[in-house]
Formats: sequence, C-alpha cells, structure tokens
Amino acid sequence: MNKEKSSFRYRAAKDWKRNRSLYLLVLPVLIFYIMFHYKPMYGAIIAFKDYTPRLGVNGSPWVGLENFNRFFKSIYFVRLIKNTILLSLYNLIFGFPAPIILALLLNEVRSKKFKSVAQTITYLPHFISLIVVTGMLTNFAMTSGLFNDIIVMLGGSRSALLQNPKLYRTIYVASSVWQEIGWSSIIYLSALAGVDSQLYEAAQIDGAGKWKQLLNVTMPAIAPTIIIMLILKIGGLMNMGYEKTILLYNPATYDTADIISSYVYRVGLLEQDWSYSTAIGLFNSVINFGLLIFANRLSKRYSETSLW
Amino acid sequence: MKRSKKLVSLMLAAATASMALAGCGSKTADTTATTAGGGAATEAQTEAGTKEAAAEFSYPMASGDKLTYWCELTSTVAANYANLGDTPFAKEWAKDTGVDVEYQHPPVGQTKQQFGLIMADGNLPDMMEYSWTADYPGGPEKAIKDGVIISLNDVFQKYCPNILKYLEENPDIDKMIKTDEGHYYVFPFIRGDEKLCNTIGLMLREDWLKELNMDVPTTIDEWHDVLTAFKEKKGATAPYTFEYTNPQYLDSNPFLFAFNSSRGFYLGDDGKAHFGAVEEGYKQYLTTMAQWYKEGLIDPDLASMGSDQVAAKMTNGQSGASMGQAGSRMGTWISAAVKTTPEYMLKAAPSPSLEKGARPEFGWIELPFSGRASVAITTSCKDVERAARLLDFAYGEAGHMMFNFGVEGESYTMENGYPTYTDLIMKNPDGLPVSQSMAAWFRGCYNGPLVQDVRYLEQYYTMDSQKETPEVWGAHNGKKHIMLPVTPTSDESKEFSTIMNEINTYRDEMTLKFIFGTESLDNFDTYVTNIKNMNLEEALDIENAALDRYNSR
Amino acid sequence: MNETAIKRKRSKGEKAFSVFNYAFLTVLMIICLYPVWYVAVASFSDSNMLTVHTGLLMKPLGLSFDAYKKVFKNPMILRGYGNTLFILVIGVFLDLIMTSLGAYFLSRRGVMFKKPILMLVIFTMFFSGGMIPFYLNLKDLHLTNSLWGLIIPFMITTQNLIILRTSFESIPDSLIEAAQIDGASHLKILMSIVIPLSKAILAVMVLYYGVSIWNSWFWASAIIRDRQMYPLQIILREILVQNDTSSMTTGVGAADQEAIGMSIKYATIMVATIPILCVYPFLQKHFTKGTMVGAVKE
Repeated sequence: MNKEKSSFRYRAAKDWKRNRSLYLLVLPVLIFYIMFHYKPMYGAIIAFKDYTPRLGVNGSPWVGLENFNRFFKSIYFVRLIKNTILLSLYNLIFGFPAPIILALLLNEVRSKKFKSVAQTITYLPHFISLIVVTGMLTNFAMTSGLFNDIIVMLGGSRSALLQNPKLYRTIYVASSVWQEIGWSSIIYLSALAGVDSQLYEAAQIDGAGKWKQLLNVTMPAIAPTIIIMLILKIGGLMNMGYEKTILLYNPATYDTADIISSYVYRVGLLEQDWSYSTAIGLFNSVINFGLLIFANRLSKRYSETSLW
Repeated sequence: MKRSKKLVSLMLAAATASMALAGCGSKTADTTATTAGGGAATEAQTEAGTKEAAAEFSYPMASGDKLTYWCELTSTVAANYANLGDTPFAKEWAKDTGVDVEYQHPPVGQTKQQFGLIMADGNLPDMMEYSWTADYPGGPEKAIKDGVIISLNDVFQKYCPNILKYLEENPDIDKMIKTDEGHYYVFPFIRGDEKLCNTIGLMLREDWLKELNMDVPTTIDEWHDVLTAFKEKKGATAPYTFEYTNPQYLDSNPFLFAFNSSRGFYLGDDGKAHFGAVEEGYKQYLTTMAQWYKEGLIDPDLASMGSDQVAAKMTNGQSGASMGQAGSRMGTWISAAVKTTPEYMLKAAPSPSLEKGARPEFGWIELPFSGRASVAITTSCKDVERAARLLDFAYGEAGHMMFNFGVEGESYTMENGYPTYTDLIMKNPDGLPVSQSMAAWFRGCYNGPLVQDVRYLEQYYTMDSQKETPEVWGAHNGKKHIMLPVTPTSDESKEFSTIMNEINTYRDEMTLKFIFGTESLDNFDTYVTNIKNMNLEEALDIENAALDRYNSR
Repeated sequence: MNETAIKRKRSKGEKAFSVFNYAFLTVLMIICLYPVWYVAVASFSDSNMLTVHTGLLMKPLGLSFDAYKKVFKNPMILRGYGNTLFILVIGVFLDLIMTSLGAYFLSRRGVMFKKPILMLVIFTMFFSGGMIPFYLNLKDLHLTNSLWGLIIPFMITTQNLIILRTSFESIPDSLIEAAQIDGASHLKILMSIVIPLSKAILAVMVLYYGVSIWNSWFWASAIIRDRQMYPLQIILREILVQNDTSSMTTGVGAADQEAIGMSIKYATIMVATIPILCVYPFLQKHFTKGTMVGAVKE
C-alpha cells in the first residue's frame, strides 16, 4: 500500500516535471469547468429539498426522495418515458445517418460550383429560429396548408396533420432532419476533406470502383468522426429539448408528443416548482449517463474508437 | 359639529380638485395647480379620518432616492419606447408625485420566467407589478410569509388616504383584494365599470347574415343553422374558428356556457364551488361540438389555432364566426378585411342559450379585480412611504384622471365635463395607432395599479359594432356563477396545484379527443371516473374551504 | 481531390449515380430554400394581402418596403446589433482560445492526469446542476446584468471541445516531438504548429460558436435586466411574440385598428438572419483548404 502510494507520488512528480507547462495551459479550462459546471452541480441537491429561495440552497428543508416519488407515481410517468425514448430514437435513426449520406453525396459532386451552392443552401434552415420553423410547420400542416395540397395531389384527402397523434413524430423528426441535415454534414465534409487523395489514386490504380473506394477508403477515414458523434448522440438521447415540443404540440397530440422536458416545463418551470423540476432533470441525467457509458463500452469493444 | 366640519372640508376638496383639473391645462399654472391638487388630497384625508400627521402631506414629495419598479412593458408601449420611464406618462407621474422611478422590464413574453429568477436570487426591486393573486406559487399570503412582499395594512393606514377612501366606498372590492388573514398585499388593478369586464364574446359576419337573410343567432340550434349556411352557401371551410391555443378564450367559451357548465370551477346555485368539466352539461357540450365538428362547422385545425391563423381565416372568408375582444380582434379584423372586402362587417352575438328567448344562466364576465397587474411593495424597499405615496396617487382624483386620460390640454380636454381625447391620441400626427398613442400617455388603456375608467373604453371603441358589444355580451346571469378570487392556505396550495395540474392536463387532452371523435362519448363516464381518481374531491374540499374563508372575510 | 484524379472511364452505373446525385441534391436544395424564400418574399409583401393569402407564396404580394422601414425605425434593433456584435466578436475569440487550450491538452499522449480531466469534462455533458443553480452561480460571480455574463460562462461547449480534440489528435506526433526537441514550449507548439494545421476545423468552430452565439437568447432573457443591453435575438423574439401576448397581458384588447403586422415579423427575421448567413461563404473556402492537412500527414 505504502509502496504504491509513494510510486504514485513519484510518478506524479515526474509527470509534473515533464508536463508542467502543459498543465499550466489547461488550467484556465479547468477553472472554467469548476466554476461554471461543478459549482452549480452542487446546487442540484435542491432535488432532495423543498427549495424556497429565501431560505437558500443550504437552508431549505430536506424532503428526501419525495420529489422523485411524485414523478414516479404520476399517471404520466410511463407515457413520458415512452414518448421521450421513442422520439429521440426516431430522431437518431433518421437524423444521424442523413448528414453523413449528404456529405458523401456532396463529396461525389464534380462541379465545384454546384457543390458550394448545394452546401450553402442546405445549411440555410439551421439559421431559421425555432419559432419561425414551427410557425411555418403549423401553417403548412393545416387542412388548407401546403402539405395537404401535396397529399391531395397524390390522391389523399385533407386532414389536420398536427392534430393527429400518429403523425406527430413523423412531422417532428422530419422537420428536425430538414433543419439540421446540412449543418450537421459540415463536420463530415471537413473530415472528408482531410482524406488523402493519394489513397483514392492508389485504390483506382488497384481497379476499385466508386463503391469499393467508399467502403475501403472513405468510410475508414471518417469512421472515427462518425463513431464519436454517435456516442455523443446516444449519450444525449434523453436530452430532448422542450422548446420545439411546446411550440408544436397541442392537447390532441399529448399522447405521442408530451416528453419529459415539456412536462417539466409545464408543471415545473411554469409553476416555479424548482425542486420538482430539478429532480426530474436529475433523473434524466442519470439515464443519460448510463446510456453514454453503455455506448462507449460498445464502441470500445467493436472498434478502436472511444471517448475515453 | 363634527359633521358640518366634514361637509365643509368635503366641499373644499371638491372645489380645489376641480380647480386643479382646470389649472392643469396651461403649463405656467402647473406647479400651483398640483399643489392645489395636493391640498385636496390632504383635505380628503382629514375627511377620511386618518392620522393627523398625514394631513400635512402634499404632492409633490421632496426629492429622495430613486425607487425601482419592475413591470411588464406592454407591447403597445414597447413598439415606441425601450422603457416605461421614457413615456410622457411616466414623466408626468414623476413630476406630479415628485418620486423618481427606475423601471425594469422583463422581455415581452418572458415575464413569468424572469419573475421566477428574481424570486430565486432575492435581489428584489422596490415595487413589483405582477399577478400576485394567481401566479405567486402558494398565493399572496405565502409571499408575505416568505418575506418577499410586505403586508400593506399599516402602509395603507399611514400613507394611502386615496385607496382607503376608495375601498371604504367599495366594500366588495375591499373583500377581494385581501387575503383570508386580512392582509392587503397589492395596489390593485380594478376595472371601474361592468362594461370593462365584458370585453370578450362571439362575433360573426353581418354582411353574410344579411345576404342569407338570417338573424343573429341566439340559441345553439340557430347557431347550427347559421354555421351550416355559412358552410354551404358561403363556402366557408371553417365556419366557426377561434384561438384555441389561448387559455383566456377557453375560459370564456360561450358555447360551453350555453350548457350551464364551465371547464373549471364555478359557483353553483348552492353557493358552493363545482368543477364543471365532469358534469352532465359538459357532456352535452362535447356531444354538440363533436357533432358540429363532424359536420364541418368547426375549424378542422382548431387545436393549433393561434391569433395569426384566426386573423387570416376571419379576414379571408374561410371562417364566418369567431370569438374574441372587441378591440384587438373585432376591430383589427374589420379594418384589415375591408381593404379587400369593402362590405365586410362583423356583429356581436349574445351568449347563446338552449331555449329561444331564455336569458342564459351562464356567461363570460370578469371580476373587477382579477389580480393582474397589481403592485406589491417588496421587503427590499427602504423607503416604504415614498413607494406607497407614489402608488396611492393613482387612486385619488387627480391621479385617476392622469392614469386614465393623461395630461389635460395635451392628451385630453374637458368637454361638458367629459374628458375627451385630443387628436394627439385619436389621430396621432406621427401616424401611431390609437392603442400606441394611448399607451404612451396613460395606463388606463391596458392595466396597472389604478381604477380603470369606462370613459376610456367609450372612446376607444369607434365602430358601431364595437360599441354595442358590452350590452350584447353582457346579457346573461354569469355574474352569479363566476368563481371568486379565493386563495388556498399556504399549506394546501402545493397539494391543490399538483392535483389540478394533473386534472387540467387530462381534461384538455380528453376534451379535444371527444370533439375530434377519436374518443367515443360513451367513454365519458370513464373519463369522469379517472378525474375523480385524481383526487378531484380533495381539490373541491380545498376550494370550498377557501370559499368559506372568503365569504367570512 | 477527386477532380484531379487520373482520368478513367466512367461506368454506366457511375453515370446513373451521378444523374441521381444531382437530381437528389437539387430537390433537397429546393426544400431547404423555399421556407427562406417564403420569409424573404413575405417580408416584401403588403401586410393586408399577406394576411388574407393562402397557399404557396412565390413572389411578393404588392411589393412594399414598409415593413423594413418600420423595422429600422425601431431604435432597439440597432442597439441589439451592437450588443450582439460585441458578444459575437469577443465571445468567438475567447471560445476559440479556451477550446484550443483544452483540446490541445487532451490530445497529448503520455500525460498522467489526462484521463481524469477528460472524464471531468465529459461528465458535464450529461450532468448539469440545472437552471436555477446555474443562475444563482452567475449572480454570485456578479455576472448578471452584464454582457460578460453571456460570454464567460459559455466559453467552452464540451461537444466542440471533443471534436477539436479528435482533430488535434490526428496531427502526427512526430511533428510535435520534433518541435519539443528543438526546445519549443507547448504554447509555441500550439500556436505555430497545431493551430495553423487545423485551419479547416477551426473555421468549423468559428461557425459553430458564432451561430450559437448569434441565435442564443435564453440566458440573455434571464440575466439582462437593462433593455439597453438586449442582444438582437431578444428583440426579434419580442417582435415575433407580440401579437400573441398582447391579448393575454392586457385587459381590454390593446392592439387595435392597426393592420396586422405580419410582414414586419418576416422583415425582422430577415434583418436578424442575413448577417450571420453572410459569414458562411467566407469560412466555407477553408473547408477545401482542409485537404492540406491530409497532405502534410504523410
């Protein structure tokens, strides 16, 4: 025991000697994380308290797991979990590959000008604020709206699309893909730009077709980027923001639309029930963290890449 | 002896007050006039029998610390001013009272959120204008107990002769603005006339009715006929539409009132609180609406209708009937639509009944004190007297005029004893819409710590169809059934809001499902059982206990 | 790059793919462009005609610049531009410095406490104290009601840090070791070797940070009390929600006989969106330069 400790000390001293300037460089970053992430994290203990601002974080009385129990007992608990997971799962299944495919397609475009125009235009929706996007969606989804015009053209009949719980997830996910496809592809395009062109030349000399080149050169080159992005996405599965949901849903679609964060917003934040909303947030965080560890472990097992 | 003294001082007060009003017109007479006005207030105080020390007081006050005042900046002010302090209204208020104020505003639409954050950090402004009655979690009594705001009983006694006088003359309102424990907590926003409480109702296309040779519908059956005619003969794709996403309109839904029901709590004939959404009337309402929906008489997009979409449908002929305010809805739509459809006209329709000719038992009316936009003095305020005097000003004679009409000679003139807005307000030289020019000069056109004057509304409504709305929309006995502003005790408040949040979410969801037919009305009983399982009885008990306490205030 | 590759025969399949590729991207472009076009066209339209219009909008209804005149008459807009620009310039600069420092550290090998620090960083992505504790912390640090409060607490976005670190890792160790042997400090290596080699990814970072700063509004609405300090997005939001809130916040309807200001909303969206759109093409060219990194890699 003692031996190990001294060896740790020895190694630490050696490391400090060697990397001192490196640690000095990272110091501001550490201070940042402690001041703006870890210090507020301490405040999350209000999830176990009945927080009254006047009494402060430390002065408020403890209530144990009451806030959590209240959430678990809520008649909406099961539905909220189900909706959150399904919505983010669909978002992942459709939203994750889309920008990769777009980046690959753009990469195959020979005309530089076309590529540049296509890039510029597909990233446009990212800049439109959520309020405007949802406002337009609501308009288009109305019985007299653009979407219905198209449905009628294809031989369907008119209906209020955003009042149908069965269509809600489709509309939500499709619009998210639309808004982020171009923007998210930037990171992959950048990775593609870093692929050595000599590798392609070598593959061509070997007689590899486009498909082979994609599989043997392109994909391995951008795989680390893809895997890292995927792990991050899976870790954030439960982090579905409330903003888009509360702009898009209505009581008729609560069945499929209501998710944890919108519930927290409605019941917690609007009613200033801080402890309750912090408790649900904490619950969410725990699940997130579990998912992250799971994803990272999988990635470590099946590929070389991992977050840590 | 005492009586005659009172009488003399009263006459003196009246005389000086009228002098003050007359004097305000010319700029040079300003200072003397305000002092005279202050004298009037002093006399009134003696008359009300307040402390001797107060009698020496007169506006404007000696200069002192700047006070901070947090309030929402209403959109009609925000259109032209970055801060309420920049408006002629605020400058006049500061000049008349001698109190300098620094205004703080949350971003438009973020009020509740910023209020929560201010509560969280404890760095309170001196005065806060908010809906303390309904929106402080746990209610006003808890706000006092939490050490956020101060009880105003002593403050009123010491520094606020004007509001005391008003409350003495209006015991109904006195009862409303107190907590069960008898604490005053705000300088209230009060609607000074019943007409001001009747601003939401049904309206429909008068030009279509004429063309179809139909009368304004008064019963549910007649409405059915009219809407059917709109659909079949005028090609309306959504004959009846309204802003379903705005809770204000769900609370004031006239078609629901026709079935003697309400979506929330109402006062029954037995004097007890009832929850409308589980009763037979609610089922009948849902049955009718589901039928109308099936027949295409109600907007198929109902659930997602916001103000923009309703405005579009009402002005482009997709819809022929709606509900809303006479000002911001009826007036706006008419003036927008006549530009493309010159014959376009809307007409107000009364709250409908089931039987022809019967006066509806239920209907929409707001209480004179809704709890909104009322000002509390916080525990951070160091100079309570200054704040109290500043706020009390609006409830006196001179303050009342200033808060409702602005400055005489500039924003209004007295014509035959009637304060008439000048062209600066009604035909603004800079081309400002009336609502904006009004909001720059006074607060009576929206809200705030004041008694709203009906003479404002009389001039604000310019079209005939607007002018008749208070009478048409007020034709019902709804006043008997409106729930009073009761407050649960601070112990019960959390339980109550937890139960009601759950019930309300469920009710809203099921209501739409019933109307859209995705849930059969045969399941109404299951729906009622589910709500009862969510502890409705407990919530009702709390509400009724609060009602008892209210009645014995 | 592919274009410069050796010429060779293109198979039929490749040609068919090429046709499909262009067609697909064109359709995608139309879908992405139309809503923006809609906003642009609506902003030049006559408010009344816009209100009664239904269906697709291809060109302005009764060309009018009134909406823009009104928008620029609003003194808050210019003020908002100034504030946002301040936050943007200082913010992006600090963000890049801090993120680079962190990423550089985390991309080095053979550093004993790298892993615990990495864990510390990643942990924050999935655990947070929540809104109220965060806010109270800002207040303790006297960062409320100050534009610095919108810059300093948001200097590092962990996701960006991870992306940058991954990119820094791909820089060959041999380069850095060689510099170390020459006696260069870590700061010097970062500034003169790592950063110049990472222009492409740093351009991406500028965009990521820049756009998120430009579009952020929540914390500004929470901590800024002085209206003179509002960034542009808050003013945009206020204008967008105005119609909806007026009926709820005021007693008797306050908006009135004024024409419904739909085109003003759209004009405001344009005014608040165009500047950030203009930045992109300038940064876009760095993506192609990114190939340079690959060449040096050998």
